[in-house]
Amino acid sequence: MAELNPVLHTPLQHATFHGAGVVMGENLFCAKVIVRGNFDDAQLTSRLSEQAGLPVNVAANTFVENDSAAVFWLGPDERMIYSYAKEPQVLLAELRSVMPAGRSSAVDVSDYYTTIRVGGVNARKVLSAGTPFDVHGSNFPEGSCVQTRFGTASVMLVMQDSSPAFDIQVRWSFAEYVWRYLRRVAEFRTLTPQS
Amino acid sequence: MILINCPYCGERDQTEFACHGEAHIARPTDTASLTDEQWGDYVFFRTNPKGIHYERWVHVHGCRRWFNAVRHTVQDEILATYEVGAPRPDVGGQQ
Repeated sequence: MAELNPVLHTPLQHATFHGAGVVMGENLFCAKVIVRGNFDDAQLTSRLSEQAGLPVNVAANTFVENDSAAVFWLGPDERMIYSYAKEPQVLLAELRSVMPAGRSSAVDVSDYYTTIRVGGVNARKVLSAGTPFDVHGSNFPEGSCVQTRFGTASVMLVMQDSSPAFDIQVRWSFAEYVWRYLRRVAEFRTLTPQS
Repeated sequence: MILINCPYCGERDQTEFACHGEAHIARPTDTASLTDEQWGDYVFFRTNPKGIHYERWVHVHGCRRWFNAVRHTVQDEILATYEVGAPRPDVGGQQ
């Protein structure tokens, strides 16, 4: 019997782009789990926070992050948890172990989403070409994450730092569409000097 | 561009949302005893007012939560948004 050698693929194969004041690249694969539950429940919140290594009761449209994990607000009863250190099934098992059966859920979506990092002086202009959300610093400060639209894709925009650097979380099947959209906008800008 | 105030996310562009018809329509509880006419009213007939209309909306490209909105059907102005289950808000007696 042939030996199985699974290879970890990402939809954009870690593509990169550099030009027109924009630096883009696909981020490394990481574990992603969507948790739904009652985050007004102090016991559940503290147990989940302990497992995630970060507070899960984040304010609307914000996220928290450290070297090994991140927690994003998706809705009043929904959070996205990234782990940069653990395997998806390990993270999932740990979170599930502290969740009451039947009243909350944790789903592994590691293979369902990927993230694209967009940075550089023109990053905001490139982003604003595809989304109706106002990505200006006054409306979208560091530590914000919003679920919105980019072209026809549903995405989550994450304001990583004000250099600026954004992460775009997009569904696996829409990743190439968003990537080409971003590239097209960035390349177009090189041909048309703007203020 | 119309901005809609999602009760959970705040103000967002209209294109992130979808409208799914009239709100506050209660499903009959005694379904076995309804006449065909009463069923027809429940399933097919809506108020279709010229003026204030209470509607169900969903934040499709955002938090994906359902909420209700009060919209003026002539001006297409959204006067208020509120969570599902909350009572109809007072919109200043406009008709």
